[in-house]
Amino acid sequence: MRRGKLSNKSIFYVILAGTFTLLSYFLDQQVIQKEDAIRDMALEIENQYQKIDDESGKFEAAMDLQTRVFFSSHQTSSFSTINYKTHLLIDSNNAVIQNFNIDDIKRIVRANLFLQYILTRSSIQELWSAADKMNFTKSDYDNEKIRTVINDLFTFNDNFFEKYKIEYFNQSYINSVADNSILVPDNDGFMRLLYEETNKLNKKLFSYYVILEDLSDIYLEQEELLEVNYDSLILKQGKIKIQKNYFILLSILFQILSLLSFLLLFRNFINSTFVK
Amino acid sequence: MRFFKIPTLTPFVISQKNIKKSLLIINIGIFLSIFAASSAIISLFIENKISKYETAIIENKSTTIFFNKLERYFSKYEDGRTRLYDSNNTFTSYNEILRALKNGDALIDDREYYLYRMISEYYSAKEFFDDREFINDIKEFYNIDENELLLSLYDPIVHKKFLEIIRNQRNEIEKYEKKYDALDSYVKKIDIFKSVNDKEMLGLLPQNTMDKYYNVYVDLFAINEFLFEYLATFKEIMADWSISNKSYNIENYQEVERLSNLEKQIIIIAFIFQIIIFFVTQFFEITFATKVKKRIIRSKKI
Repeated sequence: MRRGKLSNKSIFYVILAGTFTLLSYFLDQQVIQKEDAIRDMALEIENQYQKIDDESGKFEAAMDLQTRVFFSSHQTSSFSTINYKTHLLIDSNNAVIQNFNIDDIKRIVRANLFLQYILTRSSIQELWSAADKMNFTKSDYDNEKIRTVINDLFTFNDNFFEKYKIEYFNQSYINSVADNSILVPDNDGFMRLLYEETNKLNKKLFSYYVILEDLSDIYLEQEELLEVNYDSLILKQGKIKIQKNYFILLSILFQILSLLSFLLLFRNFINSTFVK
Repeated sequence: MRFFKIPTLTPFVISQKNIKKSLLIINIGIFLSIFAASSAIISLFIENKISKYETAIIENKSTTIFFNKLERYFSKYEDGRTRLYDSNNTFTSYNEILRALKNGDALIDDREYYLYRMISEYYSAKEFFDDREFINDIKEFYNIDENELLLSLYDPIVHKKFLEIIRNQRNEIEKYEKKYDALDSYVKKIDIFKSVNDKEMLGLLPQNTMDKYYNVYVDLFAINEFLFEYLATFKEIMADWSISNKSYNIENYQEVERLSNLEKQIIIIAFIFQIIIFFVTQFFEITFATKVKKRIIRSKKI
């Protein structure tokens, strides 16, 4: 053989270099795989984050609407009896009426009863309009129960309004009542009807308080579940990043050791040739 | 492309003339690779320590998000409570004026004066007491070891004030919870949306009903006032805990930075040690090689 035989020491260095190179390649592959896993996980984390943000937005929107419903309904309740009671007292209790200008109080009380109904109805419509623009009402829900609840949100029976739409509930009549320039007639117990219908509407309005509370609870529950998943993903991603760092460092170390083995091999060649 | 093939360089490298140079080049290579290997090992060792702090930072991130969210919800609750308080106050002020009129009692009785406020206070309290899981979480938190609580606060010496408040509120919440449960069954039976008939509307409410409305309203108001304080204390503790948490995070970041700097310093020190060792070994090796070369030349002459 022209180049002679390899000594045992040289063979050892060659095996060592080969082993370290293989280990380095293996670890490089691990780094690539971890990088892939990190990229996939980053996408998943981003996706989860958006879902959490979405659920959080829905929860807060439902909670804010719930607060609006509460205050709107409380406002209507607070004035629900005083106007009708005063309307009744005008005809039955002179002692009370003596405190007021009879024409003014009559006009004001009737206007209040009339406008209370209009305002309660408007509140529901405004809430429906606000809810309709919100993210949570636009989502497609797999859960049929939630979908039905959202579709029915702020809907109400409007028969009373429709019945008196032409006669009383037109815009010019409402404006005249609002600026106290007209006395709303009490034909066929219209004031009693206004009082009862306002109460019915307010009851309907308040029912949405309970519905929105249940809805916000569902969103909060979903958000919490997603958060648990998100936290575990973040932790998992952190661990993979740390593993990737270890693999990179170990791969570098094995590459260096492989290089060192080659250098030792050459050194051994020189020394053995030189000694001969 | 023969340039890159090792055999081309072999005659140059393994020749007696260049033996010293070749050994020196290879030894420098060995030195550099040992240095690189030791740097990698140092990095691995330090990375191991850094990873613990990084994990702590990641784990702490969700706690920080939780504190921020809690603060936002508490602010919403406080905002709602203040709005309700103001709205009821305005309504009561006007009712008081009407009640002061001659025969004002016929106009404003306890239905107008207490019932609607009572209902609003009831729903305000209900929102809290219906979520027993949340109450139990707070109670559990209030029952933790006092020393443990102090440790979690940003400044335990300054915030010892929380302990006294917590001790009082721990007992009070039980009392108010029982009170709410007793009132709940009464208030939830009342239908404020029911239209009252004309006769009933004009007649005065029975004395026991009026007394009941008044007493229940006062109790519910007291419950809500306590809840406001209770949640405000909890919010204050959480805010303090949140600062402590942020400070813990800063400590972790500082520790990571410190370890990174330490890593650089260790690598530089290792380099200095290795270069000294390299020169010493190089001195012995070259001296030895020169001696061997001389011996070979001498043996060739003979």
